[in-house]
Amino acid sequence: MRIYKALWLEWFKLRKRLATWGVYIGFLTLTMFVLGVPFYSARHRGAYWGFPEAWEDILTLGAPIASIFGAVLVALTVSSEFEWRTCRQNVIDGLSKDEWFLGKLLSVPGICVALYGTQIILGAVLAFLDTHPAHKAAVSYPLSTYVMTGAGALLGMSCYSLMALLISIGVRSAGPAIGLTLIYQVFDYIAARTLRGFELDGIAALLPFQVNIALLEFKQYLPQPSRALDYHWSTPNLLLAGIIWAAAFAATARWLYLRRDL
Amino acid sequence: MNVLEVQGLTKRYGEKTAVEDLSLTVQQGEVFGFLGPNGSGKTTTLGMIFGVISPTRGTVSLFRESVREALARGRVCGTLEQPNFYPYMTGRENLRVVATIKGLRKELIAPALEAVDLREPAGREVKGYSLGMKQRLALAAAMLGDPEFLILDEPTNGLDPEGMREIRELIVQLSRTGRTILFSTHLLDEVEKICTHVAILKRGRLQRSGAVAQFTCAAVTFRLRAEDTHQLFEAVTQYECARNVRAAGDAVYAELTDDRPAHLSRYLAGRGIYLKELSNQRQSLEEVFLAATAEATAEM
Repeated sequence: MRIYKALWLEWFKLRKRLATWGVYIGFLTLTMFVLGVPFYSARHRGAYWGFPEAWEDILTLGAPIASIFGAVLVALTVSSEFEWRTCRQNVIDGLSKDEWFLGKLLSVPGICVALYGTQIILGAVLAFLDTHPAHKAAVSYPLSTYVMTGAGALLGMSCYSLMALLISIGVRSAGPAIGLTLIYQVFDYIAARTLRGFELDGIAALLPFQVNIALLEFKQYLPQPSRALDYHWSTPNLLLAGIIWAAAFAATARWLYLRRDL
Repeated sequence: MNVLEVQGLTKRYGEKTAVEDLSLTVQQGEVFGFLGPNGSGKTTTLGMIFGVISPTRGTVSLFRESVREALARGRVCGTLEQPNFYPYMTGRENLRVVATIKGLRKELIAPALEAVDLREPAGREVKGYSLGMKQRLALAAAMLGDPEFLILDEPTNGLDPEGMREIRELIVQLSRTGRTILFSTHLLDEVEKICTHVAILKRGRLQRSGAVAQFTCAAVTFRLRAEDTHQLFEAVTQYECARNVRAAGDAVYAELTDDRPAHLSRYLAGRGIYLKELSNQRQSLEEVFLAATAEATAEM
């Protein structure tokens, strides 16, 4: 009941906010562009961008966009509550601090599923329109490959969004929270480059955003993963790293939230 | 029955002490004014009572249970600092959020809006509300589910005189329904008009607390007038039970330690002074407040 209440509140707050729909429309526009490029370039060449080959693009081509927009949306929804002091008022009205945090925490996978789901539906519709009539097979690889890709991509997206949750609870202001979430990518990239310079490639590959990038890559989930992708860690290990980062971000965010006055 | 019990509450931010060793009780049915100048620690204290600010030391209990339990059961509600709402939602939608948190039916929202005269603008976004409308909406939100105890932090802050009067009337109406109300303010007039009890806070320390009537009657000053003010002043100064005698205009003011004005009148008549006026002047809360806060400043 408490989970239902917390989730309903988050959904109500999200759907009533114009900024949510602004972010969603921005995401939709960019996704249509990203997925439209292979669609129209195939048509331009007189070729097809359809099933089963299109699955790769559908599942991962736009996933980094969904990941970024998901994190921005999380940062926006969480930090605004501190700016408006509604986070404090919710607790005065009777919601426990843990319930409030649970609502925000559960909204992270919710937002990721919504954005990623939109992307899959949009891509699937385009691919369906362009599938060569002679094609009979819907998939080229075992179904588990696609399921793993989807799950891994969602984990990668959630991991980055949970980092946005942690940053938002830390800075409590929408602008800086979104800025820091986006700037972290640059920091992660520089740190990874530096570590690789010291031949610490294995550690570099485990940095949060490096894990996120790896998990959003279709080739990572192929029955025979491309060695060029990441030769230090196997896909299960990367998934485990993603889970550990996600849990660490969530636990730190909760600790920080409960520790500080509202 | 004690609705609120605060024991040795202290809040420190590094070296700075916001509230120090504050103990206080609020009984059922009281309209309790929490009085203090700006920055005296009122909001910090209320934040600790609500459980949104962790005390460095001390305890708070509401209805003899923990703050968390009392809030979760909806026995207490209120606001801290300015009214806090989702600006992009309408007044009605904001109350929907509150009703959901409190586990109430949404049918209760309309009567709550009606009670604070916000039924008309309830469909408009809160970001377009005036401060007075937000304060009224905050009262409606706090009243949802009929909590037994309302805590309001400076509910008339930033309002024009008309808005202040409206909020005061609402508080008086609420107190008539038997609810216990605690509200902070730095406006003495407000406390004097609507409170039964008061606590005065200065620099995080409790200076005085008790019934408003007890405060204002603690030292009764009498106003006396006679034909010859000078002669009257001389005579009253010599009266053994008179204290703090002073003349102002055509009147003489004095405090009576025996609280027997008839004896004073007889004494003056014996000296050939016949009074045109003998009336008691209750000490205003402002005088009590200024005396309490001046004492606190002197101790610093």
